[in-house]
Amino acid sequence: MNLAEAYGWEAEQPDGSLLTKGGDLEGCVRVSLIPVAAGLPRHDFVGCTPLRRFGRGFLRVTGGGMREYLHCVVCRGFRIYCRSTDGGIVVTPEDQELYL
Amino acid sequence: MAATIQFHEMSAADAGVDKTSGTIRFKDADNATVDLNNPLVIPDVDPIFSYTKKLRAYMEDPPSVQITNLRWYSDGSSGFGTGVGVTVKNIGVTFGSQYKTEMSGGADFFGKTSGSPLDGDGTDTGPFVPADDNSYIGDIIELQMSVAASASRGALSAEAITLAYDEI
Repeated sequence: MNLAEAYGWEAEQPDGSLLTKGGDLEGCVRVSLIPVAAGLPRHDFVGCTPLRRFGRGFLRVTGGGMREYLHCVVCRGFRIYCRSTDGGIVVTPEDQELYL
Repeated sequence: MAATIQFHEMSAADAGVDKTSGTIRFKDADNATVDLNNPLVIPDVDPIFSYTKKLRAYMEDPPSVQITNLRWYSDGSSGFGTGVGVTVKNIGVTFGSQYKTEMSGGADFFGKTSGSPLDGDGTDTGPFVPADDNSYIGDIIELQMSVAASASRGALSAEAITLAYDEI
């Protein structure tokens, strides 16, 4: 499986409708990272103020191709990065750019 | 569906070999073959230089919206040992012939780290969208190895180069 597809995502809007494409999360009341690959944990983020999301891929030559793929959810006041290899979470300041 | 991005060792502006899971070998010949031919021979006095290598990102499968923010970097620590160096620079989107004279204007590859990477989309700025599927994206990165008289004999262990990108 493409590591970038180990997780899917969805964001719930106040009217209950779901976003599954794009990067703008303003106004959403829940953001979920949903494992597609077996053995990964699901993450549901509620009670925060999500602003936007993106993925960040890391390709490494002489390292077996894609080494890691981070899902990033930028919220007011902090960011959440989720590793696609093991589902681990790193929380950083809102403007922190995480590179591996 | 997430994008599939590769990086290719280039033989022309829009032609290259997928090296995403492969190896790039610096050698005294202008080809992308990883073999034992045309090794770099330790000089008696002045440094010698490999033929340059050119790398570029390739969009194999498109993103939903866009790819941006291409960056290239090393792990910041050379395992090549004394007398062996690698220089790197961004040459935009104009492909020139490979050469084995000393690169001008390059920087130490191992000085390009995750915190201080080489910009990969300064000329071909993107964002790179689904219409760019099956095409090269971003700038061409040029690398060259130098070998000085102080280098040790023998084959070197591989070092990694990382391409990072953002996707929506």
